[in-house]
Amino acid sequence: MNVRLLAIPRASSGARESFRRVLSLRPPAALLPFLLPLLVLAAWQLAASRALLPVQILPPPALVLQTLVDLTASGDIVANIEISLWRIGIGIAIGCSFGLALGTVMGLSQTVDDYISPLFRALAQIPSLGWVPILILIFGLDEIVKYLIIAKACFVPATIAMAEGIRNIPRAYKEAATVLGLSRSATIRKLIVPAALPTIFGGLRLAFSNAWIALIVVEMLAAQEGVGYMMVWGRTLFQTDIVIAGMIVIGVIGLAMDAGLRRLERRLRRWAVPS
Amino acid sequence: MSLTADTDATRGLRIRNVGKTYRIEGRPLPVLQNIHLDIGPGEFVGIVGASGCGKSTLLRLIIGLEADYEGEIALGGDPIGGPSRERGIVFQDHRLFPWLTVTDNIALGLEGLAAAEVRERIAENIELVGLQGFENAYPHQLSGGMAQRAAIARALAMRPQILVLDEPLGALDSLTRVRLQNELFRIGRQSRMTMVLVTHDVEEAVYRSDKVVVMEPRPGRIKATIPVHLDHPRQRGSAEFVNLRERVYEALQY
Ligand SMILES: Nc1ncnc2c1ncn2[C@@H]1O[C@H](COP(=O)(O)OP(=O)(O)O)[C@@H](O)[C@H]1O
Ligand SMILES: [Mg+2]
Repeated sequence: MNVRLLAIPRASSGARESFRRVLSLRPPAALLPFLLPLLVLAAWQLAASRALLPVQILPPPALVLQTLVDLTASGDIVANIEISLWRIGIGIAIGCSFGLALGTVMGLSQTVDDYISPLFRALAQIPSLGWVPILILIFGLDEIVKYLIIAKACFVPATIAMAEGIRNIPRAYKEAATVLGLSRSATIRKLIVPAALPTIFGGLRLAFSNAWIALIVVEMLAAQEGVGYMMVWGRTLFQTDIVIAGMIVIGVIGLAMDAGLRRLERRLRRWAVPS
Repeated sequence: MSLTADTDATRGLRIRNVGKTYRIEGRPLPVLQNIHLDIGPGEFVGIVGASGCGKSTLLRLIIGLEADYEGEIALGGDPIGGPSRERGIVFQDHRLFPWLTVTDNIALGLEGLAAAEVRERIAENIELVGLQGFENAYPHQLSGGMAQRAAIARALAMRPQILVLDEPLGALDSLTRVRLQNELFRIGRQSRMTMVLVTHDVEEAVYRSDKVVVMEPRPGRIKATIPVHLDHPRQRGSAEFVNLRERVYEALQY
């Protein structure tokens, strides 16, 4: 390897130089995030126009766009999104608030952690969707089933992140807090919350993406409305364009929520060393 | 209020036969042994000794950060049971909270005081350590020496009865160091604040201290306590001064 590298004639340095120049010909940074999606779109268009797959399986982008427009105009998609957003909103609110609360207690008290941890870890091992059958047996297809499944999906990562975030606060800072005579509430506001914030946000982002998975699957299994149901319905009609439209909607909303979380975190952590 | 010798004795810090053993992987590591020390109110005590001889550990015991030790440590007759705002510390590492500005870091120790008082003490101590203009800076925007000064301001603002300082001036350039030493010393005398300063600077320890404690390692013990009965300002070139300094250097060699 080395030998071959050494053997490269000097003349090729010109070629290397021009290669480097091509690399440095980068589009403005603001456009970079769109590059890959555009490539995928182009490949999709190419595959569809060459009819590499039957149109029922891979509709062209234009048809999916048309479907999106139609579904929006008819209000179908808006109604479904609204229902899904309510479900995910309520589920996240329940799951994250209980998770952050339990995580706080577990992080602050080793005793509580010793009591709760084994049971918590065992229950956390059961995937959220493993709860669907028993919840349906109890509640039928009631909305509460969706809330509980989504809440469970958020609850576990929120709890773990909060507990870890608190437990990993450097001892040096805790000692400083006691020496400075911080009250309990000041310790929470001025030390625990800011110190645990990065871990908490990592957990929240995981919680949100878990919530989406849970939402879509539970809507596919046990719902008559919502984006997930719309996709199942599209599949039974062999209308892949509706399925893909649903995927796009999920992707965009999920991305927006993640971006919102990141923004919030940046705002709350203005003090952080700029990387 | 006049301070008689009697109240001095009861208000002072009494360290009697103190020992501290850490456990490393289950095996005991004696870090301090047989420590006797009396520090009167308003006294300035310098502690010198090779690194690893337990200087920081001794300060942690005085502050109340170590619960598990042998012997007796009392302030004003009351055994020390844990940290308290009457005893302040400037740690070897500054331990400013990175998410708080200099101002908010100093305010941490002033919880419960009236807002005007808090503002006044912050301004006063920021000026004292020469950090005007950096009130709203975050720790990562400060140099090591500036962060150390902010930590000193934070401890001083609490106006503790005893302030222990763990090599607080190491990261400072020599001009700032001398200025800050002067200021610390002035505050200590003015407010009769007891100060315990761990330092590597023997000359400085002799120049400031009412007594210099020389420690030796493995396990950490007090090798000598050398009283310095010279008036301030001291003459660094005087025969007594040079003599005392040599005694400290001698005690440091083993
Ligand atoms: N938390 C701890 N656990 C175990 N050993 C410790 C701990 N803190 C300090 N030590 C040991 O105690 C000895 C004295 O440490 P220290 O008080 O920091 O010395 P100095 O401040 O004089 O340099 C060292 O050998 C150090 O390794
Ligand atoms: Mg030390």
